[in-house]
Amino acid sequence: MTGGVLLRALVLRWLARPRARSALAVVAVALGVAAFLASASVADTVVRSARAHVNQLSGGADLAIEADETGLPLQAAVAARSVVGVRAALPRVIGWARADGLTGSRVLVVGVDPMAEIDAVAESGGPGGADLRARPADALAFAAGRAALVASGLAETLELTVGAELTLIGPNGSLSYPVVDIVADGRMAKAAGGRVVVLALPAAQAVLGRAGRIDRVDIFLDSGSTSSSSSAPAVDPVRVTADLRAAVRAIAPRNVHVGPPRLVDSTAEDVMGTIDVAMRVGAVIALLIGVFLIHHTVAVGVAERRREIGILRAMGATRGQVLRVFAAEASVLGLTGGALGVVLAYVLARGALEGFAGAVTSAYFGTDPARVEVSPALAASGLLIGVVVALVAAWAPASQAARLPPNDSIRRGPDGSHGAGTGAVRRRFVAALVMAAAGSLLVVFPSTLGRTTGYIALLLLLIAFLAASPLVLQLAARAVSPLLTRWCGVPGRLAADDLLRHPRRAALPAAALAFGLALVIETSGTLESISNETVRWMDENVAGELFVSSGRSVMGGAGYTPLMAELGAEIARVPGVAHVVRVRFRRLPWRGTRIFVLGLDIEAYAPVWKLALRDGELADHALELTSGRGCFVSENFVLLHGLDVGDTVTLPGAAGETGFRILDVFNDYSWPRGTVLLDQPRMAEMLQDPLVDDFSVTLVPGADVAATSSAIDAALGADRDIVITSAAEMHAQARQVLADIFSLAYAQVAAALAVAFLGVLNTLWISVVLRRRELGLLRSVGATRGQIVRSIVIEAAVLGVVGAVLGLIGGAIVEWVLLRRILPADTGWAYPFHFPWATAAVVGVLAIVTSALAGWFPARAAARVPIADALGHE
Amino acid sequence: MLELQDVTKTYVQTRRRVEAVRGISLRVEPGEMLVLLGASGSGKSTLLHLLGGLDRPTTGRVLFRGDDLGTLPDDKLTALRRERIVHVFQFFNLLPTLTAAENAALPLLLGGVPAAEARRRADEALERVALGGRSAHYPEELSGGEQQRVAIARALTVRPEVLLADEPTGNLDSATGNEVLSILREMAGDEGRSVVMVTHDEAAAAIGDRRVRIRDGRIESVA
Ligand SMILES: Nc1ncnc2c1ncn2[C@@H]1O[C@H](COP(=O)(O)OP(=O)(O)OP(=O)(O)O)[C@@H](O)[C@H]1O
Ligand SMILES: [Mg+2]
Repeated sequence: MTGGVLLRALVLRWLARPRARSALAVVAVALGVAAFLASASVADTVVRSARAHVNQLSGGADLAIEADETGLPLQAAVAARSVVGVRAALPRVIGWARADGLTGSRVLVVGVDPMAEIDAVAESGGPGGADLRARPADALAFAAGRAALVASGLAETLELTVGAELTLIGPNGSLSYPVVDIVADGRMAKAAGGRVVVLALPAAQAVLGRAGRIDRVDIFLDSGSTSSSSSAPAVDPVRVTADLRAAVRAIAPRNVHVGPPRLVDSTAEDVMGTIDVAMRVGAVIALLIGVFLIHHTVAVGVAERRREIGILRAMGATRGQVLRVFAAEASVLGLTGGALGVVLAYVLARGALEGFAGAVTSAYFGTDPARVEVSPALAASGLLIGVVVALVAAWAPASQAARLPPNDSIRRGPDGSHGAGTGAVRRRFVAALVMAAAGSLLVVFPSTLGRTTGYIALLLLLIAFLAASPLVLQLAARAVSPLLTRWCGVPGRLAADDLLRHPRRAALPAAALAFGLALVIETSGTLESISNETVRWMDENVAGELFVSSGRSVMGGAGYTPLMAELGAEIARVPGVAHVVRVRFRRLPWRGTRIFVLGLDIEAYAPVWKLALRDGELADHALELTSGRGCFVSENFVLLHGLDVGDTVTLPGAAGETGFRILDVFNDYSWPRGTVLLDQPRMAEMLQDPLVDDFSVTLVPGADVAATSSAIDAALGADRDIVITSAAEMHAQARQVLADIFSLAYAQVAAALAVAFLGVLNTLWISVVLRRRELGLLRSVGATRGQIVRSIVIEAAVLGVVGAVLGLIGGAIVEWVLLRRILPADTGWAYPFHFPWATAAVVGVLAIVTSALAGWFPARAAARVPIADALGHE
Repeated sequence: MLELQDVTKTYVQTRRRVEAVRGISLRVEPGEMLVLLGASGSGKSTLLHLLGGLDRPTTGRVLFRGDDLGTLPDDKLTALRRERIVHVFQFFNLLPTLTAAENAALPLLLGGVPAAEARRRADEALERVALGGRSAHYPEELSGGEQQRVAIARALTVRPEVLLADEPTGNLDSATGNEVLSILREMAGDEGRSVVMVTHDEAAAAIGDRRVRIRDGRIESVA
């Protein structure tokens, strides 16, 4: 009851008035929440995508035998069928090929065993989906590998009808199949965006260049296993799994997963961790800025309502009641902001985020991206975050309000200054120094607290930075005060005075601005550092002027198929070609994550070798490499896994594990979990994988790059799925991939900057409102409107300058900690630091101009207020 | 020289209309000290604001040396406030961040008078209100009466033609109040200056040349 009265007295009438600053605080929370949800949903999406396309097709299976890129021999399916309790074991080969007439994307080719599939279809509806039993002739053609089933989505795109000819272009050339049926299957439509072709196993293997190998076996158990009411003896999936493992071990490599079909590759989560954390940092900063704004809005609200609070307290309202009332007010702001943020995140998920998730997915996982979705749980957490953020932000001012002595607040009225005295500013500064020192210590001794040291250091430095900003602002104001007075006269002097008198109030927008700018500098600095270093590294280490592949993007992408090794000989015969190096990339499971295994054929590579080794020369180790006893590992591998020269790396092969002694260490930016370099022929033997991802071609001196490129194209024939990339194009692609991956970071930066500018507008607005009487007095003694406006704009510009300087310095620090501490701890890569000067200049000027503008709006409004009103009734 | 001609002022708010001034005609003669008396809410402050151009009348005219303040553009009005018609209020007359001398010099500085010259005139004025030694003090270091004298010194630096004071002694004890009153009394007539003062206090009103009683926005009596 009392709560209701208090709420009405203090809050409802107050909130009902349209207030720019309440709206700004709500928008700030909304942007922060949206940025947060966006990062979270993208992370989810990427992890889902990492394995989703395959599993979409095997829906309904009880168990699965899943191979990595090496694949399984077909006997695995046969062996699985002999296990007691297995009703059906359906082998599948899955890969990507180009479809004639389809540009821009590739199609997912799925090879199935038609006989086994048709048996299972009645109950499970395997990927073959179509029921060909009524059409024996078609069924026979399909089973013989002479016909294709096409998903309806693809059929629509290519305008295919039953009986039409579909030409698939693989690394070995093109093959054509008549379409026997068009399948409208839900699972097929989800996988690869409905661009799916189903072929009989031999046909698919031919298209994909995978003679004799399959990717997975989907297992269906005898029906007793799923329903307990069945009279059949129950099949125990655990026992069947064990039996399957035993049956497969004899014929398949150990890096095979047997168990329930995996929805997500667990190693994908490990790799995703890095990207995920990086993305969330930006979101957290955006949220932090939101916290400031709410804090500020509530604090000013308290200051303006001192009189009301005092009267209520004098009449017997308890502290708890006052506190609760302000908490309720903050919750309303937070909830509104959170709800707006959720809506915004939905919009973002449908738009900008798709591209980002796609880039990350294909760069790191070689699959097609799934749809970005904001799950209801995520949406709910968005609302919760909004409220929590608001409550945290409101806590200090609300409890301050509750502590106000009643008489004091009545007497001083709304003019009681909101801001700390000099003593508090000093204390804060000491606290800031302590935190900065602790943060710096962690930076100097980066392994004190394990992997998280860098983040903790960053957090401490940020808090220190925040706590110090009022004093910094005060010092800056004191320093510029004489200059402002000299250049701008009385308005300049008044601006400096106000900054000096309310350092905390004024420090907020400066700090918000500084945060936004720091984020910009950190993001673009990191991007520039990483992409410059990557390109430099490519220049120095990647041998070759032309790269022949089946359309692989720099880091490996969705929808490409490795090439047959024999093509190398054909390329070598083209005039102008000096050397052809076979390159194979594989991401093998290793110690709970995936490492990058890079195969280079050393014999061909030796003459054009550019890779810088840490200790010795290639010649020292060539023999051990080509004999298959040794390997090189990347620097980040050494840092992350603690193995060094002399140790042995044991890798999973097709026929068991193989050990390689580490011979030397090289620098490599291919993979955040470390790279192992092997001789490609040895790698092919080990993995029983003769395919090649690309051929690095060097030219004879004087040969024309473009001419040789077209000559290779002509020699290999147009009906092969082959792309020739020049070194320059490769660099451009590398930059593009990095820019795509950073696109989300930039979106967050934009959100944070927007929030920061809102913060500046908000605080200046508030400051003007609080100074109404003072401005009225100035006008009454003859200050012109222009002078009032100028004074506020100057004040805002000074805030902008301080914010910009702090932001640029802070950004450089954050970038440095990220590049030299956090990334190395997580990926083993220590990129050289590079300060983004051009960006810094642009955002610095932008910050100052925008903040001056943000001062101009409230200043004009203030100058228009009639003087008598501003002075109040006297 | 300052004249109200059948002036009304109505405040229109969302819920209510307040007719604060309901048709007042009044002349302020050169060099006179005019005192406005009346109950709380009778419209004295409103009248003073109208006289000083802080507010515009709803109907009627406010004439200063022939210019209608109600229609004067803002820049002219501002200059007028800076140089010719100045205000002294009951509370919050001074900017807390400026020293006494700076506060006193503020209108000159705003008007672009060179700092040294403004400073000299401010010191002179502070001397006249017997605050010569306190020019470097900030308002919070001064008593209420001293602050009020600084506000008067600020008016003096300008050498205005009219000084308008709204309950200048309202929150001062009687001894301090009397000091302020005698300074105001001195200023009236000096260089032909008129002073208009609002007060509740009959004793204070006695120092005026004329007393105008206001009731419900109308002139009740002139004595
Ligand atoms: N800005 C305004 N908006 C609405 N009403 C106003 C405004 N200013 C004054 N009033 C009303 O006009 C009437 C006259 O007010 P004014 O301040 O002139 O009285 P006053 O005689 O100075 O009183 P006091 O002796 O208490 O200072 C009052 O009823 C007041 O409420
Ligand atoms: Mg009054």
